[in-house]
Amino acid sequence: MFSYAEEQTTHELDDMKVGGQPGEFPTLMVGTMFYEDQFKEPISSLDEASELIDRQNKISEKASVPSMVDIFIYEKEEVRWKLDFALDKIDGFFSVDVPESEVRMKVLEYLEEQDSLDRVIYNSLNLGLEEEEYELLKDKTPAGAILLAYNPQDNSTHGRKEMISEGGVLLDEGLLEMSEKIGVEYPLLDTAATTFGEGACEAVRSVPVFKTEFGLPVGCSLHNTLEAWRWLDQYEHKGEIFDIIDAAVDNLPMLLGADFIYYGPIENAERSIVNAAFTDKIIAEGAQDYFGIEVSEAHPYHKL
Amino acid sequence: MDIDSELLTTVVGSYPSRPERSELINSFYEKKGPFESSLKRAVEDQLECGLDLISDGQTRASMVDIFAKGLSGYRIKERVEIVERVKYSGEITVEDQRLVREIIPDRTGLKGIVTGPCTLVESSKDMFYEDKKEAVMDTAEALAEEAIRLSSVCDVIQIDEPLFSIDFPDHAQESLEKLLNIDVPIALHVCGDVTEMMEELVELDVDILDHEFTTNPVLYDKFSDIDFPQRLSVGVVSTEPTVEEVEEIRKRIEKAVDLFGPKVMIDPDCGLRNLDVKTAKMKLKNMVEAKERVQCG
Repeated sequence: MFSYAEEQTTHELDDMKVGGQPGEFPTLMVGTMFYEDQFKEPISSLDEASELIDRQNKISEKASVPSMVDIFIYEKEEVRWKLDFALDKIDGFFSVDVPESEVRMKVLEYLEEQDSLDRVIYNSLNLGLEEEEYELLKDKTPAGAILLAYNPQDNSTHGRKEMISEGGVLLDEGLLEMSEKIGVEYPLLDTAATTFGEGACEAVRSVPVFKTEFGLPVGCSLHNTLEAWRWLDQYEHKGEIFDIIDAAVDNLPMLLGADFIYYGPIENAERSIVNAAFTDKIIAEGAQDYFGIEVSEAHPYHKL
Repeated sequence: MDIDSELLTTVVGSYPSRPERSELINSFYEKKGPFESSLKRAVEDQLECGLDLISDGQTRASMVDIFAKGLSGYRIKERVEIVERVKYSGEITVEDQRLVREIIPDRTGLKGIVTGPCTLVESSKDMFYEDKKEAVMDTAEALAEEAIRLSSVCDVIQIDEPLFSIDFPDHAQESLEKLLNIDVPIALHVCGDVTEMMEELVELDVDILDHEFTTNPVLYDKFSDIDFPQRLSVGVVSTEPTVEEVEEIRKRIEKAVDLFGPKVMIDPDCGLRNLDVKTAKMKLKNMVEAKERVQCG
């Protein structure tokens, strides 16, 4: 186990603390819903969606590992009903995960209408940020934002760091500077899990580099690398093995000090959160006895 | 395709197809390679222009960065650096070539491109080797592995050594020999005015010599003054933003045919990476049309 020499910022999102030194706070586990073709029909599936959120909350409480819901939105038509559902069902912060810039702008407008920008982690500020969206963000500012370090021109750790600090060759300014100009209160650095062949390891290696360089909360969604691993598609017992690795992959960034993990579909809450509790306990034990880190009161280290 | 056909039209390599930022971020969400779309566009444009022998467009990065990223021992920070012994650690451009092969018709040939070892080392800050020749030889051995793999997919392998126009190191020939053990024709592209090292170039055991005849018209005379065993690939359009008229290009091709015979290959002077797509495409279209006019007499 290890500790960072650099000061580490901690964000307080409601009663959840994200960031700090390894072992200080348990990892924030974020489960995504409305992913791909799940719940395309708004009415018939909302009960099931509610149950999944309840289930994540229950496991989270039991394991003393904080959790958050990530709402995936593909198209403009989905903005209203998905956000209505989230605002009604979720107490406090939630993440809104939107690939398309135009759809993200609709999200901002609707969240402002609902007076709820202060509850949202915007996922994400990334290289696809258009000028119009940038300007809109300055006016309609979410409380938090994921800063996605994806840099396809240079997928090394250095290239990812540059996307945060200077924008690499693709943006005129770094995502961190942009988030500051926008006025994001809680920036969260995502090291951008990529496929094998596109710098898969770099997403993990970037965790300690980002913590050292920026001192901000860092995380990633390494389950995406596993999902894109074509070799496993041909493996005889893929389903069973996939489930095991899917939980285990989170341990890699966690051991290097990751503060939050997007663990994938919210259906996997149980295995991902319990796994995180185990790993958090290991990290906290090492951090406390060797580095004198004060492990937070609500940590699974004390509770489980 | 018939690689021996007369007035074969080709490209040097790079094409200005760059993915939009929105395409790049979509590739992240779709868990796909970020350069598939730009590669396909580069290939489609070359096919539409009617070229006989095309490239993958080298849309991923510069000719140096592509290989510096792919070879073990190199790394890219502020600039390209050599930080440990250079080794081949897996396919660099082969998968892209396989993708191109899947989408081009049988009649179209495919050129695989390898940035030469001398140019790669010269473009890097060497922090490991004490001897430049050793760095070049290790790089050559690593690139030879790539060339062998490329030769199973491509009809021609081109080695790019722009360095040779300003410096032809003592170990140049030895390093290139490491790359020549493949079964498909090998082209050597050297841009710039190569008159000073012409004697060394024609001694190399390559099948095709590719040079910038438009920017350096002196090469027409120089090459016609000497005997050489290689086929010539003659640059008949410049890499400047001005698009040459078809007639102007036709005259250049006719001059090349008069001096070197109908087996010359026809291409732009160098890679088109720095042009805008419209200009690059127009240059290639005009080049193919000029060639057709020459063939029609």
